[in-house]
Amino acid sequence: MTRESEEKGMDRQDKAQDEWVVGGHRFSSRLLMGTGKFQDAETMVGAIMASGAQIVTVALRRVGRIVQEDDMLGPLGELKGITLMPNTSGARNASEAIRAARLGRELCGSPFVKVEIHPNPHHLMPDPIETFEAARILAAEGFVVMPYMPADPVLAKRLEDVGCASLMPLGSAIGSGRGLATAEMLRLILRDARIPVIVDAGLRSPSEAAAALEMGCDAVLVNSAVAASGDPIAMAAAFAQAVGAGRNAHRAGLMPQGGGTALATSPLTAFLSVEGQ
Amino acid sequence: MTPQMPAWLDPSPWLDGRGSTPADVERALGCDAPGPRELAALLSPAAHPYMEVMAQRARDLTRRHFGRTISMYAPLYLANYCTNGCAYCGFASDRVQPRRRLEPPEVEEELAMLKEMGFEEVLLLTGERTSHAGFDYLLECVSLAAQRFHAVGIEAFPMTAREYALLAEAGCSGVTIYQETYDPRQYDRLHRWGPKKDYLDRLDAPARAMEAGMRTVGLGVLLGLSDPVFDAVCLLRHAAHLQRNHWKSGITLSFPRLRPQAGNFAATFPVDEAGLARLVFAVRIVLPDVPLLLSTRERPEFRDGMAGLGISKMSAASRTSVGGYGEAETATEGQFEVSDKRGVPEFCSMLRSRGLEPVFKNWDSVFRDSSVRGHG
Amino acid sequence: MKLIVNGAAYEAKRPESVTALLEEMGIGGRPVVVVLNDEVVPASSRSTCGLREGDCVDLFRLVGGG
Repeated sequence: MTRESEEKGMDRQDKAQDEWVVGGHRFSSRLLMGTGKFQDAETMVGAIMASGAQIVTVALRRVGRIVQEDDMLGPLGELKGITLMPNTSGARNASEAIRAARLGRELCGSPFVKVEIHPNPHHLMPDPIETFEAARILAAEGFVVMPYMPADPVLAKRLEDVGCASLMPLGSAIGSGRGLATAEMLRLILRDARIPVIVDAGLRSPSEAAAALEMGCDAVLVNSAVAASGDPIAMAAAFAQAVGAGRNAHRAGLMPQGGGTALATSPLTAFLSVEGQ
Repeated sequence: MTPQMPAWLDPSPWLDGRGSTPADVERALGCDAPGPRELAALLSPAAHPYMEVMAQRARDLTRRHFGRTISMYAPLYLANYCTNGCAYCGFASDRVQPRRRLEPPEVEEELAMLKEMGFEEVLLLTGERTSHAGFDYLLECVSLAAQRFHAVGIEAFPMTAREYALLAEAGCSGVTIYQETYDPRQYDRLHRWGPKKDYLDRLDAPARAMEAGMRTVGLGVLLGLSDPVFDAVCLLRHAAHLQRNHWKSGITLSFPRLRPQAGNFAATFPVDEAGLARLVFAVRIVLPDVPLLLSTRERPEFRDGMAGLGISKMSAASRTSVGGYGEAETATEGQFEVSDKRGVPEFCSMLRSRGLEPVFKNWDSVFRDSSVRGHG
Repeated sequence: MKLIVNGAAYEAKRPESVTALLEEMGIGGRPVVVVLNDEVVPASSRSTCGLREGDCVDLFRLVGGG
């Protein structure tokens, strides 16, 4: 069914403004942005502003003195209304991710964390077992856990059960630009999810983002699709428009697909024409 | 005092009084992921001309999810003691009826007969919890049944999670409990006295059963008590709520229909066969993978027609009196009257002639994770 | 004083406190998390937290990432 917002405990107010709630925080933008792969800070900040994103992921690195020109995130701190969400990218297992999450919380002062554990550097697929373990522990420590995960419906319920605030199933491999390769799995996840579903990774075009929202996803996260595009600031704006369109379409209800049912030669319901009780 | 419907159950957003149009019905039929709104459209008067289309869709979906099979089970009435005052039931505590319960040796005899008939799944039924037939009695009967049958279900009275856990340990894999009607005012009016008057406790029982590890819960409404569209949408909401919160458990649905002449009780909202058929088709379309049951209280021709058209699970040769399988003829009346009296071989033969395979054993208790193992 | 900062050997001229070390290294302004021998040093404790020969100091900051 279309994701009735009542099911996730939103009140009437949220529904009217079409906000979504994650970890007890309300957001109106359904486009999340990553901050990697940009050529410079100015482009990155411009793209984030153009996207209207309110949740922005950042990574954590062991870095000492940073020269002004290389400081990508300095200007980001100037923007209002942005929630920085550290991701644990770089961690290869649960304990590394947990350590990164704790450091991230120290730095950001916010409980949001994107648990991202991809031990294989070739395809960057998330490790379901380490992710589950890290999510379980971090959720118990009060983090707002947003796990980057394979688009597996059972794993989704397991992560929900251990207290994740949202689910972030991949559309396709990071940076691959293969779009919603996992669409069928996403539908299964969406059907039973009690927490927001945010498609993360693999999106290339705004139309794919729109499709994700039309399908019923609560939000999408894009990074490469914007940072590596010809004009990141314009592309970010295009994504924002697409996410809005997809969301509106979902709420409006797409028309039924064609292909009428041909009727059977002898009616199946003939037995009812006899007067029964 | 009329209880409040919980927010997760409340069907009013989808029953907004605006009648459905043919366009709404088409939209519902074309919907990828239908929900309460689509169910309401499919049950509206506007859907009447789409009966055959719905039947076909129901058949196709049933085939896709259940193959060309019908699961078979047998009900076994253990006891008819009751302290409730349900207006529609001939066994209400103020009705004069011979009351009895099966003693364990008799239970074993009935179980043996059912086994002989070919059944591997049995549903044990009692009335409300009484001193004659309470939890301990039921637990003992479950243990007896679990030694012989691969799937044992109960349809009795609301219990605590702890009690359900004990039953599960003893080998019970399913709990059936019908809300009868989800309309709180009607519910209150019809359940005049007794523990069953507690609407919310009954409503919550399936969730407790799932928490306790029951593999399946059976939900249902007694058609005729209230507006069937209202009850159908509530049933859907109930099922969706349980599926969301207990994703490992399964659900089955049933739509027993008030017998018109039974128990001196006239249905407020009588549902005819077409209405029941439409309900089954609509629910199959909206919940493609949930088993739907049809009992022997419906006449043979209707059952024949509905098998495979949404209906995926059926009983046969049922005896609905206590100790009934030991008797020569069915001896029931009222709400529990059996209309389809065909024996198992005849019924199975009918199914096969319609291209359906009766399946008696869908699960082997050998895989069960407890100390109880069925010998099969 | 010889320290290991971010995995590399570092000769600290002002090891009297973490705050002093950060100033010496020219790290100011944007937030940084200081991890001393695997334990986070809260910002409030930096000025009073002393350093010893051979201490491992890791400095973490937010950087761009997806």
